[in-house]
Order: sequence, then C-alpha cells, then structure tokens
Amino acid sequence: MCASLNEVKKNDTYGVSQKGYNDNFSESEGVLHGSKSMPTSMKNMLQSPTMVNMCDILQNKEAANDEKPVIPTTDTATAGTGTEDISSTQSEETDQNSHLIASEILEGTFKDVSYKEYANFLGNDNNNQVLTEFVKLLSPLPSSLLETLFNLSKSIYFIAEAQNIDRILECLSIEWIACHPNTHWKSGYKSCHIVLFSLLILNSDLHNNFQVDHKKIKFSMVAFINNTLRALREENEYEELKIYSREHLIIEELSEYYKTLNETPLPLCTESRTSINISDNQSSLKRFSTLGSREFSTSNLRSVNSNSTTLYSRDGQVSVREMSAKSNKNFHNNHPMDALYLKESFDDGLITENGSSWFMDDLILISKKSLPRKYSKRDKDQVAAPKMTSKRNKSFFGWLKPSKTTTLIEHTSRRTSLSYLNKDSEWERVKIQVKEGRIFIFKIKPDVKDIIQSSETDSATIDYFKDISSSYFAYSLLEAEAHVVQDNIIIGSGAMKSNVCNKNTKRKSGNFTVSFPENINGPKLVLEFQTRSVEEAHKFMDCINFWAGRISPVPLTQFEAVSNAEYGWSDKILTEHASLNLKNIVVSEWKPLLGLELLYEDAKDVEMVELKERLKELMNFTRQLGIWIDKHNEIKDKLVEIWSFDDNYFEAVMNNWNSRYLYMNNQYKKRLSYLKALQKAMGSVQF
Amino acid sequence: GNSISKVLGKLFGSKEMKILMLGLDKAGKTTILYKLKLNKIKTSTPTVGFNVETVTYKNVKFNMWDVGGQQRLRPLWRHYFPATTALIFVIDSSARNRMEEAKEELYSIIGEKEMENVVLLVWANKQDLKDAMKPQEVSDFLELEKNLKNQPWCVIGSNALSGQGLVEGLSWISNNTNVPKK
Repeated sequence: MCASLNEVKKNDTYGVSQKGYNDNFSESEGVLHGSKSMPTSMKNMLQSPTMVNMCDILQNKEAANDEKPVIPTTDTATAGTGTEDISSTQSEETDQNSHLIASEILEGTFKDVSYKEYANFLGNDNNNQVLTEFVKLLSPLPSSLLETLFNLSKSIYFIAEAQNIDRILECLSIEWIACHPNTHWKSGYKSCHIVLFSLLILNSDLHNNFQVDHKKIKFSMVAFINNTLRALREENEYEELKIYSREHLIIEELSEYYKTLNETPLPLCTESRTSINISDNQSSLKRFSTLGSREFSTSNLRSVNSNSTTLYSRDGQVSVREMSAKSNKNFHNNHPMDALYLKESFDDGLITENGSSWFMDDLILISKKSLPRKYSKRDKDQVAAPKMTSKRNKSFFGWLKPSKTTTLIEHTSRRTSLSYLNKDSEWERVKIQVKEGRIFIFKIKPDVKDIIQSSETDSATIDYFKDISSSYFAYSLLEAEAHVVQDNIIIGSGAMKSNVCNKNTKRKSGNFTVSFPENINGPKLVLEFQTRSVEEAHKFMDCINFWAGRISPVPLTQFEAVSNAEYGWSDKILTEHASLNLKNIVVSEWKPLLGLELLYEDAKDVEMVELKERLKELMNFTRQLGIWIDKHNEIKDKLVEIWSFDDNYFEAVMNNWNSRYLYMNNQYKKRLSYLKALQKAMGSVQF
Repeated sequence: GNSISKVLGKLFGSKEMKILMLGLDKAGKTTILYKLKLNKIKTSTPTVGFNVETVTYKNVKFNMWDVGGQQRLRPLWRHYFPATTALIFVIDSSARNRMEEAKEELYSIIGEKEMENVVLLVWANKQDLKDAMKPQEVSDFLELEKNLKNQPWCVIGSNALSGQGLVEGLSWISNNTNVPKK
C-alpha cells in the first residue's frame, strides 16, 4: 500500500460515502432512518464533527465570492449532488478562493471554522487545494525539518486527527523537497514525511502532561532514532533513491532534532488574534453541541460538583435521584426540565389526562422507609469516596452495592415489599405525579396537609405543591420498573388488618413498588406506595412502566456482542468437548456489561425514539430474548455433563450459567412489563 | 456530567490503562473520542499534535490515542505497543466495500509481535445505519475465531453518536484485563 497524493485523491470516493452518512444526521429525518426520527443529541453530534460542515462552508464561500459568471458548468452541476470534489476543480476561480482561504487561515481571520479546527479543515481530503496553497504560503521553508515543523505549529493551532495531520505533513514534505532538492533526502518526500510525523510523535511523548509519570520512561534519543530509521527502512523510496547511503547524516540530523525538541516543545498557536475569539468560541460550542458546552461552561462545572448531592433551599429540599443534577436544579429553580422523550402529536392531550398511562396524579401513601431521606447522603458518600479496591472483581461491581453503613435488614427491606408485609410500617401521605418520564414526590408540610386532603389537586401547578411541601423529589424513570404487590403476594383476609377490610363494604387498598436499578448515582432503590385500591395501583404501575419503557433503550448491544471469552458454553466446548483437554481451558467469569443507559446523568444524552419504534424494538427484543433463554436452558444438562469432572470448573461454569440466566430473566421480565404497558397505552389511542 | 469518568474509575480500579484506538478513516474514531472526552475531569495542557484523550479519575488514567495514518507511518507507532493494555479497532459496519481493507489493517497491527498479548476490542460502529453488518457478521468476516488463538477479543456493536456500545466495550476490556499493571 504505497500512498501518495494520488491516493489521497482516490480517497475522495470514501469522502463521498461518508458525506452521505453525515448528511443524514445533519438533515435529521434522513433516508436511511426512515420513520425513525432523530434525537436532538444526534442532530448536534456529527461524525467527525466539522469535516462535512467544512466542505459545505467552503462551497458556500465559493458561491458567495462568485462574482464572475464564468464558473465552469461541471462545478455547479456537481454542486447540486453534494458530491463534488473541490480539489479536482482547476478553475482559476477556485485557485483564488483556495488562496484566499489559505491566507485567511494563516492570518487567523478565517471565520467559517473555529481556529482550533483549522488543522482539521486543512487536513480534510476535500480541501487539498487550500492545503497546498497554505503550505505555499509558509514557503520558503527552513532547511531544517524540525524548524519547518516549528513554523507550522506557530502558524496554526496544530492539534488534529491523526489522518489529517498525516495529510498536512505529507503536503509539507512535498513542499520542503521542492525548496531543498539537493539534500541527502534527495527527492524523497515520503521519507521526510516519516521524519516529520516521527517528530510529532516525539513531541507528544516528551511533552504531553499526562505522560509525566515517574515510572514512565520517555523516548530516549536512541529509541527515537531507531524507531524513525526502522520506519524509513521499510519505505521503498529509501532504497530506491539510495537515501540509506547517507544514513550517518540522517542519524546526526535526527539526534540534533531530538536535543532541540527535548528542550523546546513545539509551540501551540494560541488564540492571540483576539478579534475572532468570541465568535470562534461560540461557533465551536455550537458545533460540538453537548460536548463542547459541557466542557466549557462553568455552570456545568457547578452541576458536576453538586451532582447527586442534596440541594437545599429556604423552604424545601430537593433530593436527587434524577439522572441529571441539572434537571433537578431546573426543577427546583422553576426552569423547564430536559425532555426525556420524543414528544409526538398524540401526546398533547394525553399528558394531562389524569388516570391514563400518560399521567397519574394523586395523594397516596408512601412507606416512610422508602422516603429518600438518607438517600442523598449516601449518594454524596458515593461520589466523594468511591470504594476502590485492588481486587478486580470487586472494583467492577463493588461500587454498585450499597455502602457499608446500610444494615442487612435495611438493605433487604429496600429490595422487597417488606412494608406491605409489616403491620408496623409507617406510611405517609404524599402527592405523587407520574408524567413525561418522571415521578414527582411532594412531601406536603403538616400544617397544610388537611387542606389538601381532597382529591381535587391535580389541576394545581407544580409550583403550588413545591410551595406547600417540606421536601420534594424528582426521579427519572429510566430503567425503572413498577410492580403491583397484590399481583405477586396473596394474603388471606384477616391476616393483616391494616390492609384488608371487609370485601363487601370497603375496597381493598393496593400496593405498588417502583424499583430503580443501580446506577452511577447510587445503589438500587425501591419505593413503596399504597393506594386506595388495587385498581389504582395497577394504573400507577401501567403509567410508570409506560414511561420507563418509552424512554429506556433496549439493551441489545451486549446480547449481540461476539467474543472468544470462554464461560463454559462456547460452540467449541459443546461440540468438541470430548476431544479437548478441558483442563487447559481458562473459564472467565460471566458478568453483564454495563450499559450507557445506566450512567447518563443528562437525560438528553439518551437516545430518544418514537413510541411506535420503541414498541417494535421491545417486541423484537423480548421475542429474541425468549429464544436465547430457551437456548440457555437447553445447554444446562450438557454443561453439567461436560464439567462435572472437576469441582472448580463445575462451580465456575455453573455460576456463570446462573448469572447469565438471572440476568436474562430479569431483563425479560422488565422488558415484557414495558411492552405490556406500551401496548396497553397504544391500544387506547388512535394513531 | 462526569459519569463516564466516574464509571471508568469504577471499571478500571487503580489500573493505568493505555488504549490505542485504530481504524480506517471515517470509521468514527473521533466521534468516539468526543463522546468519551466530554467527561474529562482533569484537563491537561494540550500538546501540539495528536488527539490523545486522557480521562483521569483519582488514580486511574485512561489514555486513548488516535493513531491513524498511512501505511508508511505505521512503523512509528510500534514503539508504543508494548505498554498497551488494549487495542480498540473501530470499523464502519456500514461500509461493506471497505471491510477487506479494514481487515488487512487490523491484521497488520495485531500481527505485530508487540501486540501478542493485547486485549482486542472491535467496535462494529455505525450500527444505526440500515445496512450495517451485525457484530456476528463482522466477527465472521474478520475471522477472529480462526486467527486469534491466544488473546481475548470481542466484537461489540456500537453507535458513537448515541453512545450505544461504548461503555459496554470498555466494561468488557475491564473484565478481561488482568491485575493492575504497575
């Protein structure tokens, strides 16, 4: 594979296909996506973010500067298809334009891309001509290759993608050879290219901050020279042009470079050109959307610090289980919270219809034990002092477990519906709202409690309830799951006075639980509620599962992963176990892979899909998962047979089998309840 | 948000991870870096040259190098291989016409002596595109089963735009790397 500039041009075909990919994102509802509409986060996050924009910008610029009407027809014709190759357009017009852009970049006045993206712009294979012009502007190049590199990094903010760096340096080395045809490098621009690239790696190695580490040995001069020579010798040109005959000169040259670079890192061209800074930063923020803004905005830094701690205020307390501290802050400060779902036309009326799958609002009882009073503190502990153990198996899932201070009973009671079973359980009346992907809990102040005992409260605003609450909580329902206790536990009448009354005269109260899985903000959490009737508990369950199912991504990724890790049931083991020496096999411990959905703090990062699409996903997933579970069951007998020769192996494999089985089963149950809730909700609506 | 940094801390304990990320151009490496970078806690002064994303969380360092470039530059990277914990190879699963090229690239790297014991993660990226090859297809095409006998490998479908598969992949690397390297 001998790449040259020709090959760079050839690459344009890839550029084209890539462009198609990107366009689909930038223009949202793209062809490839069909009915699937684009979550906002994806709209903002472009692949190789600015590359495509840059081409567009370049084209726009050309169009804008187009004063003479003599633009070649081929140019405009291809422009329509959006697949034109700018570098191949040889018109004077484009030359001038490229020259103009190149000099603007050199002066730092080119405003179409952020100054930090200049190098990526130049290195983009669609902007070859601008790159050539730019390199010409740097001419005459100094006779030292390192100095040439210094000049380049002084002229442009030079941090870029490796492939773009590659193209820039290649172009630079061609120009350098043109300026200095009579050195020991002869006409070997490829060799110069290697040296320039090697120098850049050396610069990173010697001067990158994180590399400062007592144990790390940096590149020595010998290592650098050897490394570079090895690469040179593998390049055909080195042989063909007999560059090797002057290798001693090259070694001398390289060692000089090493000494200089060791003392003086390549300068990073800063935004000294103040006139453009503001617009630069703004545009780059916009372009990098969520990423950029998070990195640069100070308010977000604050939200990092306050993350999952309790936010106090004059009249109340907001506890955070919400994925996003920011959202809760917004909630607390009366700012609109981030949308967790893709709002569709049918949602409009439904999200305020109390009693539907879209909206539940009532005063009901919550188990005092599950009121998150301690929760925030534990969260804080978790953030401030995560337990880091050296044992690998612990370091991975250890953090998911509740902190030490939780007693076993406390721990268990959070997991099960103990409050329902325990007649001494204390309950407290709270206002609950389930809507738009969240559950809101308002702990009403005692003095106003009586006033609002009436059920006519759902029309009041959230602000009103915040005002009369001593504390309030918002939870994202991402990956949450609700159950009605009575669906699972049947108790004879009379066994529990508090819950069961005479069937004929009074309704039986209902109970439901909402469990939130472990996530980065805290351990698994279970809230227990009591409603006036079992029917109402079911309604809450439907509503919660509907929203949870609607906003939670389907964890297909880890089921589709392919790997050679051996858990005891690979095809090879199952089919060829008789001929294998099983004692030589290393059995890895099976663990579910963590999914991004459990980690996000900002709801907007989670992919949002249309309800119909989600329903389809869930149907496919549960069907497929059912098949996988059956398969997993089928292999069990065989595994027992294969592995029973050794206790250790047997235990390891069976533990793996159990872990996977439990994981799949839990997933199946949860996704099935999502699916049912979604089907039920959609059955009641005309689409 | 700093969830990724946090989770990396949890994932990797006190390990120092050096991860090289490779792949053909347009495979989605940069997007992945951006997606991971957003949670950088400690920002270091940028150094001229390559995108090196460092996530530092307590005593965990997670360095991810974008090491693209043409064939002739590849020997230059070899020196970085010995200390590598894992190699991530990113594939554009929708570019079927470039699969062969990607495969060649992968084997030319993984075939290096220095890479013998490195954990390999393949991100079959761009799963959101309709004709994207599924992880199983990618794995079959790459013939990893046949060719990689002694090192752990895994192919995970990913979508760098939504972040799907990224944490799963890192979590797999963590599950399959040994005791902390000091």
